[in-house]
Amino acid sequence: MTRVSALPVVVAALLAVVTAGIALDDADPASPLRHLFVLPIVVGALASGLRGAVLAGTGVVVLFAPVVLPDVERHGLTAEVAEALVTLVLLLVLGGIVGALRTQTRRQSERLALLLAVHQLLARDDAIEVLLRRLRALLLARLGIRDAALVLEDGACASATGERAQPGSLAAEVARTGRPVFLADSGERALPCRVGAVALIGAGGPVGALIVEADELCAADRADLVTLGAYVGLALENARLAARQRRAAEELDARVAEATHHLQEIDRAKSTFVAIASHELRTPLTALLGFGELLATRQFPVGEVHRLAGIVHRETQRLVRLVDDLLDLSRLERGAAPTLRRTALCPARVIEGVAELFRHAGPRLVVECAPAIGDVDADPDAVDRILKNLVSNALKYSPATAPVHVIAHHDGPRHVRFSVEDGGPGIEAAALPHVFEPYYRAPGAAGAAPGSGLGLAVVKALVEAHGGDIDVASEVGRGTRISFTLPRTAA
Amino acid sequence: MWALRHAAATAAVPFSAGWSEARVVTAACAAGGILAAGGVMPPEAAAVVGVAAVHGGLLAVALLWNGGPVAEAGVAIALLALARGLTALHPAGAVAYLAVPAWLGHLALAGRLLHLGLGRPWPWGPVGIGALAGVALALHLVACASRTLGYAIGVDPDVFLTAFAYDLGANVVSAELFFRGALLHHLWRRWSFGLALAGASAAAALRYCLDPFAATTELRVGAAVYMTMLAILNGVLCRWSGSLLPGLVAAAIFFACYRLLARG
Repeated sequence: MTRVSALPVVVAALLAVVTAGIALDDADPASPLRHLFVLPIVVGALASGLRGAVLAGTGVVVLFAPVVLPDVERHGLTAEVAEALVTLVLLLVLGGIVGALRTQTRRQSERLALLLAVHQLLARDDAIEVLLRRLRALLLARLGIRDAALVLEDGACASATGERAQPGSLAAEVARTGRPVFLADSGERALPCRVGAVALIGAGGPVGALIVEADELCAADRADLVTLGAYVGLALENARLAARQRRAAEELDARVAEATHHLQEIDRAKSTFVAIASHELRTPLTALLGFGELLATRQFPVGEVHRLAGIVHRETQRLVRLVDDLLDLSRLERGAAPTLRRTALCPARVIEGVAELFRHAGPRLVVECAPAIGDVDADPDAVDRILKNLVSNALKYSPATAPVHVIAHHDGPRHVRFSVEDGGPGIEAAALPHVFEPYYRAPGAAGAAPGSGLGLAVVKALVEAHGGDIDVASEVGRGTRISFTLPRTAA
Repeated sequence: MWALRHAAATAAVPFSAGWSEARVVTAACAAGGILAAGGVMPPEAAAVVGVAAVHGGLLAVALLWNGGPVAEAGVAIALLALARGLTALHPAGAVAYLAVPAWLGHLALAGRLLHLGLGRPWPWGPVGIGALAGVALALHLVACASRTLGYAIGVDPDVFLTAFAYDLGANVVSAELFFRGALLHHLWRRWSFGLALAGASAAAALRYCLDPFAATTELRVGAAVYMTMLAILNGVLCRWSGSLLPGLVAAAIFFACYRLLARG
């Protein structure tokens, strides 16, 4: 609902009352009632500034003219008429001064209110594009202008239609040079349209431009716009810095949280590892202790002694493997690469050697080696450990009847790819990225079979020490394939 | 937004833009006016030439200055000359003056006078305010004229209708279209509205002060005062509403009241 101002009615009523009083007083131009014209003039000036004073003053002149002019016509410029005219002039001057002061005061308070509103708006935690849109809406509401646009040097822009400043346009030039430009008319509309373009000045120079289109842009308006541009520029720059700091703090928080979580995971994994390692160490030690005691305290037939010695030997090897893994891991955590003694190896022989080691698995272990595959340049012990680890895992986590494939084939001209595939329960997708991490054991693995969580971490380190790569693919319920590459010997 | 697409240099429009044809018409009309005032023609012919040169000239220049075709300017001059000629033959011929606003109304309805501030949508609210302002100014005129110069309301209806038809068809239309529609807009595009209004209003008042029909000093003073006030009023109405129509209505009402005055 449109709010109708009561001011024009009040001023008109005051004018009418005073004029009627003078008319009733024989329409005498020297009537003391003429001094009451000060009321509509001052009311108009106080309420609407200079514009109100001019309108009220015009009303006084128009209404007083029929009183003064007949007297001038009849008697000429008498002292009474001159006094009335002087009174009129003084009232108009008074109205002008009061109106000008009122206008200036109002402009000053509006300017301060606008700057405060801009400051509050830019203190919000919003994206820069959102801030620009809100700032544009604020300027449209407060400045009484037709249109406004804000352009930043990084291309961000807020305009009515969303259009951006074209290269070479007035907006782009002002944003580049920092010099304000004011045009009397754009020539684009039926009615004249003033254009003002002022730079948004940051600490290091222009950071953008504020463009306004208005019915009028007087000298005071232009000065205000330049000040506003400087203020908005600094405020925008501060807002951007604050936003950047907030983002940096948030990123830092996230990183700290991630690192803390990671450390907690490692700590938990180490605790788990200590428990597992204790168990893994205790098992062969218990066997060694038991069978050693038996051999030391009792007499056995030769065949039985050989059997017990074989058990002692296997358990000792298991213990050695575990200690080797621990030593390798310790070296890796210190950042030292494993020491390799590289030589030319035949992949087929390596695979067959490993298959021989696991011959107790019987026909489950299927070996496939592409013909004429060539030799790889690798450390025999390291490759042996890699394959033993992978095959051992595959057999350990697969059902007793599921086959395990050990495959070697070409992988481009420079590498040979080895793959170990099992038909086990598979690994969940979420666990796959972690399977090569030290101490990590996939959910369900701990209960399925004994293990330290070190094997795959050591395997990965050994493969990478050769300049190869390793990856894992798995599907729950279908099985897992771990494949790695080793470099071929130079031809 | 203009400033996002254009360079500053493209905004500069010379004051004389659109003057190539208007210059010729201005020169021709000035020559016609001088001839009419110079007494070298028979009085009736001089009256026809004078109306065509002054009112037709103002109207034609207003149309041409804002990019209208030469033919429309020619029609304006021809219609005014025809109306003055018919009036010379018989007072009722003054009705022919109404052909000018009718023709301009047709152009406005066709959207060809938008650049002069005439066309849809019609601002009926400001038109009402313009009518009230015209009435107020006319009442002031009547009050002052009756108190100072001894005028009173009362005039022969035939004389009134002839004079009012002339005002409506020639005087008001040509003054509003030229001084507000063309001159004020062109000045306003370069200066602040206050300065432009002062310039256009001074030009309008000067035109009435130089009118040969304002023979006496009191008429010239009256013309200067009231035409200035009317020009300011109509300029403000034009800016407020963006249309010439409220000013046209105010001026028509004012001149109607002026024509009602007769020496008592």
